[in-house]
Amino acid sequence: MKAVFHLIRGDMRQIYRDPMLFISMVGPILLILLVRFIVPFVTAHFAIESYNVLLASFFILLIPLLLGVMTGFIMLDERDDKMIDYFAVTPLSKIGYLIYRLLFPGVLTIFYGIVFVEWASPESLAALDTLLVIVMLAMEAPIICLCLVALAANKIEGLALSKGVGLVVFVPFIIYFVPLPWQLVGSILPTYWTANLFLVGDISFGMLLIIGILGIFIHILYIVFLSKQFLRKID
Amino acid sequence: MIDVEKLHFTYPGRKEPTIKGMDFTINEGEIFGFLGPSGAGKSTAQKILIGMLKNYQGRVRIFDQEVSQVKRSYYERIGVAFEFPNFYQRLTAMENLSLFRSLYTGETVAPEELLMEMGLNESARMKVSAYSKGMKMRLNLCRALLNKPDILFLDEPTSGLDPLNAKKVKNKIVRLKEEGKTILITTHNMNTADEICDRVAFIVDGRIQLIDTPRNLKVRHNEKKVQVESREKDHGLKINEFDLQGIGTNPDFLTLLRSNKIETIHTQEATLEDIFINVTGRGLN
Amino acid sequence: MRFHTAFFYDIKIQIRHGLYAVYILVSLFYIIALYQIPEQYREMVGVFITFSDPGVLGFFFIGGLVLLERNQNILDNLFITPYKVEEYILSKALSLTVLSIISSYAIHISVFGFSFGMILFLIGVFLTSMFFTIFGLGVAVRSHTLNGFFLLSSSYSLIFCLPLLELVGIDYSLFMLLPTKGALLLISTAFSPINMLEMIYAIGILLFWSLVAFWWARRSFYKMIIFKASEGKTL
Ligand SMILES: Nc1ncnc2c1ncn2[C@@H]1O[C@H](COP(=O)(O)OP(=O)(O)O)[C@@H](O)[C@H]1O
Ligand SMILES: [Mg+2]
Repeated sequence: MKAVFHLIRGDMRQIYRDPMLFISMVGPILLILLVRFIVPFVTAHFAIESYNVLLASFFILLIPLLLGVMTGFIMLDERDDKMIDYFAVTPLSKIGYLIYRLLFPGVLTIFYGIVFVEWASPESLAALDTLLVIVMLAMEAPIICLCLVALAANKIEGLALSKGVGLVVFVPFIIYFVPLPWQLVGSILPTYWTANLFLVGDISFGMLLIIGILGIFIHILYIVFLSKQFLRKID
Repeated sequence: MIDVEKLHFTYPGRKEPTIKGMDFTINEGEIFGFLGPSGAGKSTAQKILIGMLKNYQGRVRIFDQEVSQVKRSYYERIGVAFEFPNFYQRLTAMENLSLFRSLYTGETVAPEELLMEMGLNESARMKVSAYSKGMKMRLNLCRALLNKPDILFLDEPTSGLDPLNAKKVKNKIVRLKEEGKTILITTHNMNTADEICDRVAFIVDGRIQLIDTPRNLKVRHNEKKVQVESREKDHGLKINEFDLQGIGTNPDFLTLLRSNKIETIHTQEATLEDIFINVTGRGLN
Repeated sequence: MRFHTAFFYDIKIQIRHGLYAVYILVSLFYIIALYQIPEQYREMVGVFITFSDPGVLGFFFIGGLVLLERNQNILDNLFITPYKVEEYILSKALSLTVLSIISSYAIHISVFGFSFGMILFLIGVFLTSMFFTIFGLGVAVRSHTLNGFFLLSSSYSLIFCLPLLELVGIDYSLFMLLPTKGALLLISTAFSPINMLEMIYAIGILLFWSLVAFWWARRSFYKMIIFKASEGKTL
């Protein structure tokens, strides 16, 4: 507990000097304002309002991407500076460190995700859909973060990966434009399931439940696999 | 070759100076050792000599120029191995050396030769990220030698090395001296200094306490003693010490000599470490 | 000898850290994406993509490259050799520009084929990348963490992005003073030829800004790295 307290205090001090808080506050808020006010304006300008839902499903994915990448960068810096070795020998332990770090983007994503769906999104979702979207989104931020730190050896590789990993936010376009048997290729990506909830339209309750369960299962799979990979890497 | 007078240096944000007045001269073709406990200011002094720290007071002349004024061409003529070996982790040892080699315009040594001498030829194509500390230390020395420097600055070149590899490094340093190079090494290991340095400077707390050859130091600071171990009837082993001076007329010693109880006799030589403690009043670790 | 080897190794290091691999993926993605876009918008989006991704990728990666070299104390080791700061900056910028050019060229010929404006288009990418990379290097030496770099760089570069508004029809003549205007002009020569005057203006403004960036990056480097090292501050 005391270790966590120290970590939080360290973070607060960091925030003071480090732009982490600033990015995590301003980034998603700008995004939400963009979707609420600018996107409808632009689509009206080009007479493509029918794409509003597609754009919403795309922009909402940018929230976990931004927060995940940002947290990933912090962890890459910390690992390059050998800080993680230091945490590992405190009562916090490596797993404690990992959980603490991943919680931050996860919780923030829940908060911003709710604001996005309830206030900014052009299409409102049913309660169960909203719940499922938020749960999956909340896992996506840690997944993206883990991708960077589990697969990259240092910050340059992390940067390169963030470029590649960032492409997953374009999955909604696959769902929208690619017909059904083929688009299932995208289903190995977590974001496929989140975007699906926006884009499938009216479906039966049973179908919704299947999408939800499958989606959450895939998210958990990613988290477990990548966490293991990460912990092995810092041993 | 290297001429230092009244050198003072304070790190910004520190009240106490780290270097508090140093004067010394290093001659061409000699191995000069900075000896002292960690935190004494050895690395700092060395960083001043290589032109990294510029805001010092006093005079530091190398190749007849003030070192705070040197141009980049100065670096064609010196070789530096920092205390902590840092490399491009994603490149192999060979690639790292080739890269650094290319930064010099003058004559250079083929990296293969250096790697061979340091026993790294088999791991030349390994990424540096897979190197051990000891391997990186040796690679660090290779890097400092790439440009055939006239003066070498080696910061703790044998730290973290096993005795065999330390030997390799020490032999190489001596060979470099025989080629006419001037070498400054810092170390807190007395044996290293004793084995290879022509002269050593004892540094404590930012000051030089004394400069001399290891040999002179030992002769001057040694009251040689003879230690005699003898077996007493009920008391097991007993140790007696006698001054070497005038031992032939020392009655106690002569009695003991005739008593047939002696197990061993040694002359006791003070090590450089003893002398360091004697002179500076401080240990090395 | 010195410069070209350093340049060659910079590229090698970039390959080893996966930059080229990721850009194969990213370029492929853009190629596919551009084919999906209705023809009437394709060229406009093409210009936008070329500018905002391959064009400024150096800006994105230079932060990681410099921060890593600095944290691993490689900079200390570089500058006890005769290597000059100016060479360091140029080598970094030119090497990243190579990737910019390869990627934009690949995207362009795969989607639009060869065209007459190709030379000017590539000159545009070259100058854009040089400017943004050198500028990014100036920002990087002022930053201590990746997030710090991205916050600082995005706030600095916001102003340079203003001319992008032109793509949605908003234009001010003051934008003429910014390098981005010249960059967009040159990059769009692949589709619409420009006259001599425009060409001289575009190349001139980019060259001017590149020189300013170089001067600033060099100064920043001396101030933040060389001078700090010479005082004995930890970098
Ligand atoms: N960059 C720095 N800034 C401030 N103080 C420093 C710096 N580097 C070293 N020191 C201090 O200067 C003193 C001498 O350090 P150093 O020269 O590294 O000693 P040595 O090499 O003899 O072990 C130490 O007290 C150390 O804490
Ligand atoms: Mg030291």
